[in-house]
Amino acid sequence: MNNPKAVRPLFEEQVYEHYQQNLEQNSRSLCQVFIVLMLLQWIGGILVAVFVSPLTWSGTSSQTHVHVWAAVLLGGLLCSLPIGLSLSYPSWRWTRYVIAFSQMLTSALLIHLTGGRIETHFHVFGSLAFIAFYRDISVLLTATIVTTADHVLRGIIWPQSIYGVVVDAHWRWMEHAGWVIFEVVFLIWAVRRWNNDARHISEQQTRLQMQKEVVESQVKERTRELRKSQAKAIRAEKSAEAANRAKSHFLANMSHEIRTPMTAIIGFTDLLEEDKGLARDSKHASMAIQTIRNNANNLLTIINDILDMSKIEAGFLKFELISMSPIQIVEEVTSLLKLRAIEKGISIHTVYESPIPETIHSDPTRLRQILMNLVGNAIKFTEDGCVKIHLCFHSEVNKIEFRIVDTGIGMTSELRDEIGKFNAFHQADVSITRSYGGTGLGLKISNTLASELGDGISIKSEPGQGSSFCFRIATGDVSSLSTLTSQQAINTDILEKTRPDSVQNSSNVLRLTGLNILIVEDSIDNGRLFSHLLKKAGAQIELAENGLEACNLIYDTNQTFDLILMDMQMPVMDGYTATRELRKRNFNLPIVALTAHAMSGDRETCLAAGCDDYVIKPISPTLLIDKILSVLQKTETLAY
Amino acid sequence: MLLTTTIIGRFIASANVKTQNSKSIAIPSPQFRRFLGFCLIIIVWFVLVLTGFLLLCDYSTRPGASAAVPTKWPENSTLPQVDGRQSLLFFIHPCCPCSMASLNVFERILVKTASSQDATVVLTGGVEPNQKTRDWFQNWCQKRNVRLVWDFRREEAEIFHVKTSGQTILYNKNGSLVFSGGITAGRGHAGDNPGQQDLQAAIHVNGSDQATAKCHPLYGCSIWEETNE
Repeated sequence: MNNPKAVRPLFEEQVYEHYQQNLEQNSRSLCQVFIVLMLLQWIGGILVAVFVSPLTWSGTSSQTHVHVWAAVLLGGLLCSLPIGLSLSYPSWRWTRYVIAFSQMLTSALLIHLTGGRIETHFHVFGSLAFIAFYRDISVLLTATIVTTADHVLRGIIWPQSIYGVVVDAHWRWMEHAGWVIFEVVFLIWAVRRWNNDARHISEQQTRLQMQKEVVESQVKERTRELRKSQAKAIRAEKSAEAANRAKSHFLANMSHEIRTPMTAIIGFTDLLEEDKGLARDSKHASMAIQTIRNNANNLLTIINDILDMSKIEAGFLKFELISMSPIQIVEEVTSLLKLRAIEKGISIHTVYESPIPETIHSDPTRLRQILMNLVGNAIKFTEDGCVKIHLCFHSEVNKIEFRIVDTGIGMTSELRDEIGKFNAFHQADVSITRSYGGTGLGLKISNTLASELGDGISIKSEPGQGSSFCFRIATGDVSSLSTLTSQQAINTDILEKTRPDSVQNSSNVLRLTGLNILIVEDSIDNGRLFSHLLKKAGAQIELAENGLEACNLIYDTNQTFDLILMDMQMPVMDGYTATRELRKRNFNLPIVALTAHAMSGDRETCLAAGCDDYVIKPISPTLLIDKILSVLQKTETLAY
Repeated sequence: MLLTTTIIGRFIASANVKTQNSKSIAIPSPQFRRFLGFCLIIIVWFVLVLTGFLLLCDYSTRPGASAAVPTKWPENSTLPQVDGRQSLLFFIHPCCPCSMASLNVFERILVKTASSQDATVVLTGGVEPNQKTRDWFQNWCQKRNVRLVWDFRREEAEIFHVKTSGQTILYNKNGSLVFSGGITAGRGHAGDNPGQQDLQAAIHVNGSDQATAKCHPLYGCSIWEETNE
């Protein structure tokens, strides 16, 4: 519509169409008028004949005059065809020609019936004017030709019938024709003006119509957009409601998931405190402590999942690409979960379908997380049979395929489709949550991680037959690296590299001997815990309850410390302020942030405040000691 | 006819074009057949109209029976003859529709030849008109100073051998016939015509006894019944 060249022909076409419609409508209405006019002329002719020459006489006898018969028959004949055509084909061009022809002969008849009266000639001029209303110059010229021919022929054959005189009549047709042409010239001029006006009106009509169409189109477009927006808003509302319901369900579920291990932790803690006999029975005490530890670890897993979900939704999930052994990761996961599988009476196997690269470039932490989740799920939903982890290297795309196959309860196609959407906070159905627990976050997180590392998770499952979860991770360029066969992989002693904390705990003894550490922690319990752990490792400990107390201790008492463990959220003065204050006073010794803030960006905030490193609570004693030693070693390296 | 020929020509041309384009045997399309029908109707209609006009013209220009008018004023006529003046007799049928046109022409002759003749309008034909018609003729003649004679029994018509309404006869002052015939050029058509001009000329020249009487065709109703012919 914006291209004038494209619009012009369409515009001209529509103008022409409107103009033709206008002419046709005019022709139709004028034909109706001519029907009436011709009937009136016919009747008028008969009346004239009856009035002027009703009878012809032979002495005393009389009979109807020939003029009366002529008026009836010839007049009727003259108007019959035009009336018939006007009724049948009102917009036909030849109808107009016939009307013009007939109308002018009617004038001739009337002139004859009135004895060639010159006054009757006015009928000719009236008829021409009437015919001009057709706004068709060719029709007007037809009428002109007919009347001129009639005058010429009559002038030659019988001039008195039309001119009233016989003498000197040979030139009079020119005079009559001249007057007719005189009128016709003006009529043609008028017709052209009418047609110009009609064309102008058609243009206006076309413009109005096109504008109307544009407005209608815009209204339709707006209406369509409005409907789309409404539908979108409704969908968004439904989605929001669904999300709200899902989150409510998640919160309820989460509450259950947190309360369950908390119940065990609190219960066994109370039991150990109140039942002195139990505390003294080393076997039962050890079992109670193990229960507390397991449940605490479960709690930590839930919290980690929530944190990962938060990072995924915020878009802050970060990956590292380092050299790693996929087989080592698989064997670690198998080793960690084997105990759980054995407890359920099922076996767990690793199947190497092809030689696997010894090392690849990927994120070992995230791969471990994915495998832990999928294998953990497979064990969870399998009551008997086995869980198999299939590995296959696709060298053409440099990807390792992991397929976790179980012989568990499986899923219907509907449940599989629902699970396959990988929506957060969703499980297959509520009964699954009741029967097997879980937050509904694991698969979502695993699928996101798998998508980032390679391809997302695909699911195959049959009810009662078990399920298969498959994903691929990119390996990077491994063409120059060696691969391990399945036998080699099995023979590799990788299990020795993963040791539980309990095994390592014994080596923590006296690792921090000679170190003077300041713990700044507002929580008395945590302070005591960290103090106990670090003292046990050989360190000397000072405690401060907030940042201000820590600053005072450092500058007022002139005590020297090798390292500060700084809680970041405290009353009076928080860890950020205290660290910045210390750094401002040129305190150069290492400060390790110790915080429960584990959201994305927290680490950067701590480092920006002046901390040397960052530790998330809770933390195992070994990792804490490792972190302290690592920071100290790094500081010493920089000092040298 | 010109119009019809043009229409037919155009449609035949368009039909031929269609036939050539379709490369088929010339089977007229329904549209063409319809148009042929229309042309046929036009032609028939036109012929009928033309015939009607021709018949009408034929009737209007067909003269009535001429009279063998006595060359000398008949002695047995009761119509008055004024000495020293030409006698102009105008026989008309009072009910003939052509009489109005004849009277108009007669009036123009009277105007142009005032006081040169003694004019008499003879109403004849055997029909006694109603009083209104009588009054009208009476009034007309009085206004033009013309003598009106009622010849309902057609005695004078017989004496002068008049057969058709509109018969105009001029005798000179000696009683010799100098003009006989009609003064219109068609039935009911008033207007200048040779009969009128010759009569005027005859009146003006006051024709001599030796002059050959001018005769012109008559256009009007018959004075006598058809059976009497």
